[in-house]
Amino acid sequence: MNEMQTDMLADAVARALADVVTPRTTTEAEARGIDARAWSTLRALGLSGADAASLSLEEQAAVLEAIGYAAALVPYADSEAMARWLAQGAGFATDADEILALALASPQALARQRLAWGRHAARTLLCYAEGGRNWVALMSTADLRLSAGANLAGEPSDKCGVERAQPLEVREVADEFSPDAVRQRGALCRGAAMLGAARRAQELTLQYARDRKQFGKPLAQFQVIQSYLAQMAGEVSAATAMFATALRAAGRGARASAAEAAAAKLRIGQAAQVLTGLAHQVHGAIGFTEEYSLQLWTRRLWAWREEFGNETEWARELGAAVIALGPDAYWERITQ
Amino acid sequence: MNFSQLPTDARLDAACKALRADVRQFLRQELATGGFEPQCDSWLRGFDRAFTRKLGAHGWLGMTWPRRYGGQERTQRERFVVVEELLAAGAPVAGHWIAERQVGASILRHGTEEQKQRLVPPIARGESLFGACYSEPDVGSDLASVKTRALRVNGGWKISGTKVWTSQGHNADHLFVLCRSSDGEGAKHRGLSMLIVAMPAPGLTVRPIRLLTGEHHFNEMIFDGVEVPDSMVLGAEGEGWKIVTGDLAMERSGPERFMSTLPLLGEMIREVRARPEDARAQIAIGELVSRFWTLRSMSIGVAALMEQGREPSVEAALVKDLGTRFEGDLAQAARLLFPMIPSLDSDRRLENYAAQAILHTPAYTLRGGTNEVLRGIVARGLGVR
Repeated sequence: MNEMQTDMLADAVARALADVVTPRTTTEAEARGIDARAWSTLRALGLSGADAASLSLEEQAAVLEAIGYAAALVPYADSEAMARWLAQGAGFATDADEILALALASPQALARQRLAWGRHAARTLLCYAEGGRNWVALMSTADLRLSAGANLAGEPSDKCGVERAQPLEVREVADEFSPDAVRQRGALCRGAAMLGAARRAQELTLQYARDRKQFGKPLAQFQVIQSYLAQMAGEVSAATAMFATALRAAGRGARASAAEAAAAKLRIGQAAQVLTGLAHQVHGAIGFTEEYSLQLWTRRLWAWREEFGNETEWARELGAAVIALGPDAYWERITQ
Repeated sequence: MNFSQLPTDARLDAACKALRADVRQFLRQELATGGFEPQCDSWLRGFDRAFTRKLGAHGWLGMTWPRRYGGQERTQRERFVVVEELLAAGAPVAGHWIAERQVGASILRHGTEEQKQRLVPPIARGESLFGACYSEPDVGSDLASVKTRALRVNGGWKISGTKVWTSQGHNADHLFVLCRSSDGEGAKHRGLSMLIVAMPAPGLTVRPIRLLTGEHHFNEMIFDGVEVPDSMVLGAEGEGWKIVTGDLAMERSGPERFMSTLPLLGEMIREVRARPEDARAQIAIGELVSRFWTLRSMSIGVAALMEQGREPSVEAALVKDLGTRFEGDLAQAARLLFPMIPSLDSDRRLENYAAQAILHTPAYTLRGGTNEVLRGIVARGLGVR
């Protein structure tokens, strides 16, 4: 698919979700841990099973950005863009209708492990390295004795109740499905969704600053508020630009694009901190309420920045790689 | 806010790669033969006429300009490659910076055929250096309020007034002077003209305005009836504001707005190799590299927009706001990561670069439009101003 087709896909997903997802439906769905209507809407677009797994990373990112923008409570990233893709890589047959869960953990070390969307998945994939080789274990989720939990966005983040469990099947996988590669893909998937959420939080704030009047004029006419809005635009643009660089580099394979992916998740995480802070500051107390929708996007940014590596983890990896390259080679690497 | 993506173009990518290799080879050679001493903020403080001429001889000045005016007809992307390599190396590029970055393109856009043929090729050869005379003692961010007068005289104009912050004005061969040539019927953006003054000029006094380090880069330029023939008026009389805003778009969009302190990052990486397991150092370096990489991605997007013939002034303002803050933050990160005494006389390069970077910190977020002015431009782009 070329760039135009990716744009069309993004547009189709955005429009389909806009028809069924509202702040209210997402808030209501939180109690059930999934927005079933949004999920079936995505499936009706053909975004499930082998079709979803066959999308390029650019296309996955386009879908995920639309999901983040809509704040749709759906397991697309974990189940389709990641677990489905990993199951294919490992050669496990899956049912297009089943939701799959995924964790970067060995079946022997499950204590304190969290499982995103685990309660909705009959089967779970565990990706881990052992003895210098990469493995994927297929598990029956029931064996993990999950208890319900949630991340800051109210998405299911269920807790494993066992320290170890017996896999249904274990397969060795190639380097492109190593735990590092999967984590990197996860960082890009979360990054894409974060861009959508960031854009929405920025738009909401801009609109609010135009509409809300204090001291006889709209907030947007105060110079200090204009400065905040400009900073927000800068952060969204910065995150978008670094993510685009990482996505383009991803075509070279996980290992050869690890530095770009690290820089992207890190930069988007930094942007999330500035954006959520300024968005709430401009909104005042109303933004801190459940009834006003800003929280759907700021909570997503707060949750997703932790998942598949936070700023410190990626900064350390990137820094270590750069230091290992040294003062000349690092420059050659960035400008390659 | 639209950061365009550069279309992939295998032939151009290959050309850029080859060009980058040539520039690196040249820089290695220069360093090996003591051709220059790397430094931070080299596009302000690294004045070297001979080095500028060498760049001209390689065809690396005015690369995007038409061949008949001394250019190479290469792309914005290729110019970007040369510029970022020179800045990363801390090479002395201050001599030609103003002329090559904005004056040449302004003359090509607004000049007469005679002006283009006479004034542009020497810039591309690195033989004609320009100083920009825009700000005045009472006119900083509010540039449209300039008071320096150009009075009509027989066959030309007579300039009187005082300009400040003219970088390398004492070394320049020509000056780009923004003047008030009429009262503009009450609208201050009208009635401005851009005049070109050839140096030395009778009636012009050049006085240094030393930086807080004592360095001499800035000048006060006092015009007392300096005569300029009609042939040295750029564009039509009264078009000065249009010219200067186009000029500022070029002035604000380049990689020098986030690379002024980059040589220091290289030194940090060099020194930290002695302690490879230092987590704090890894995190600090990773954060800086991520920010730099982001800015570079944005700046390439700005170059792409320019290549498409657009004037990305809002995008450039965004990059400059983020980029100039990065320049200062890099200096801060360096001093917090290493026990050191930053000093201009240190023979430890890290301390030397840190001193240069810290002492020039106030300039980053001021020159070429303060970050407050830039955010105003962005706010206008957002439709709230």
